[in-house]
Amino acid sequence: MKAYEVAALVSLVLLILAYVVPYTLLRGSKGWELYTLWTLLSIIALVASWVGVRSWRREPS
Amino acid sequence: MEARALIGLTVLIAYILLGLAIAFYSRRFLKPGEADFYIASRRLGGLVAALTYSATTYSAFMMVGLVGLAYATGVGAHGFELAYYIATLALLTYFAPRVWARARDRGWVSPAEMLSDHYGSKLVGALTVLVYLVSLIPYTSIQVIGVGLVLSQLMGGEGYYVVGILLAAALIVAWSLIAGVWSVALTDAFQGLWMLLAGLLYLAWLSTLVVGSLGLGGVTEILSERGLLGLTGFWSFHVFLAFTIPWVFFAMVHPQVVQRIYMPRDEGSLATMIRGFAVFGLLYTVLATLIGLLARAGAEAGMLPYVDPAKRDLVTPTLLSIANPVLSAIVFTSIAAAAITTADSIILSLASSISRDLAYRLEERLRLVAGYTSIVAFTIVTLIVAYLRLGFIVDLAVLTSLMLLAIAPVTLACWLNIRAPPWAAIASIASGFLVVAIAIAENIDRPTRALLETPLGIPIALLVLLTSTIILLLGALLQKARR
Repeated sequence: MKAYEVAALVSLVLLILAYVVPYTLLRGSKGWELYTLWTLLSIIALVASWVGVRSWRREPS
Repeated sequence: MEARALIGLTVLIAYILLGLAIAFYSRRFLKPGEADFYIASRRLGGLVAALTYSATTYSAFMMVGLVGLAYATGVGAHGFELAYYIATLALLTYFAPRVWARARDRGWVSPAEMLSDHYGSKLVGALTVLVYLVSLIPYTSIQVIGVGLVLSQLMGGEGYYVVGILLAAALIVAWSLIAGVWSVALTDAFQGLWMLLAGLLYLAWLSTLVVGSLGLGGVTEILSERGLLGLTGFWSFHVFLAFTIPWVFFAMVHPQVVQRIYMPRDEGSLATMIRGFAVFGLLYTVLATLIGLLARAGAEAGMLPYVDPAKRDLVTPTLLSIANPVLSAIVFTSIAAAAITTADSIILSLASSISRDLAYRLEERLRLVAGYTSIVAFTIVTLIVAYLRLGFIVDLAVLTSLMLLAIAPVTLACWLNIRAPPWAAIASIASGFLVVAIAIAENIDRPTRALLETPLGIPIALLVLLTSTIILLLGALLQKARR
């Protein structure tokens, strides 16, 4: 798989986690856990995308 | 005129003059022809592409609607907006280079043209344009209404509403016609920076006030006691799905953002566009939701005016009415800018669809005239809707992304290069749209409720996707079997 394909796949997994974790593991949390979780997932997606798009020029579509 | 209104007016005039100067400056880049007027002849630099993508995506909803949603319903609003953000990054990272390359090879200018070309029928494009018009005219009208409301707040009088909507309409037409997408993109870049700066100042002021007084522990305690840091009753899983599914496909179905994928001059610029959007989007979302949560903590502690959560769109106007007049003017103007960047990009994109997908039999010069005329005509229509504040049409704006969802399966198949006969594409779009239309008809007195409908126990957004996808897949399989 090319780097940008991996990045997109990572983002897809993160998206699923953004739906599942708050309604299962973090259901009933009262602190900043949910806010941190969603922000952290987004930061990982940002990094994945940042790294992934770098591969476009080296790996032409 | 009181000092607050005078400062507001001064900042607004400075914003308009700067915007006009940039728009006129951008004329030097404009070359003759449709491709240049609508998509900058695919020679947009990465930074401008990133800022126009971001400013077009994030409308007045962020600093008004999302701030209010976080204030009223808590941290779930953050998850709702970030679900859109993560999905958009996934879609752009995977599909943008393919769409960009195919747009170059095939000469696509309008987003509907992409579908006409892929499915080999102009009817597919024409139907798509029809869906765009029905879905996006209410959405654009809401942006114009937003500018009217901002000006009334800024100047402290309801009478300024009409001046505000006229001003919005004038800027939309001017910034679209002066140099087509060049003036739209360059003014977007300027306005995008203004939006970000205003958001930062807004949060800095509120943090100093609320966190400075209560401390982070105090803020956490107040929000936690009221359940706002967890999933409140508002954010049942069903509501979270209903809110997020239409937005997850935003980057794929909103023509003004799809068209922006065509514009960067090379793959490096396309990469910069996505990275820039990634940074802008995360920052702007965090700013908006933190502002909403801090405002609620401050209000609960009695430090800030309490806004009834049922009237959540009043949170930002109420806060800004007590803020420093200069800050208030900068933030109000940024909200107007967010509305105008979204509105002029949509109207230019719709005009490109009229030129390329409906008036395609005409010669290029006449197609451009049709485009110019459409810009003026669409703006007048949105102005009339904004002036009359037609309740039904204003309500439809909330359903824009749901209505556009009918185009998602045909677009996804196009981006994956999956072939299907034109009749299947037409049936797919029409059936998905029909599902939404039925839901709206069943809630004719309050169309916004259609968003939360669950026919057959399935959230309406999912049902639209399923219906459109099954029909398209059947068509694709039948075509394959015949071969």
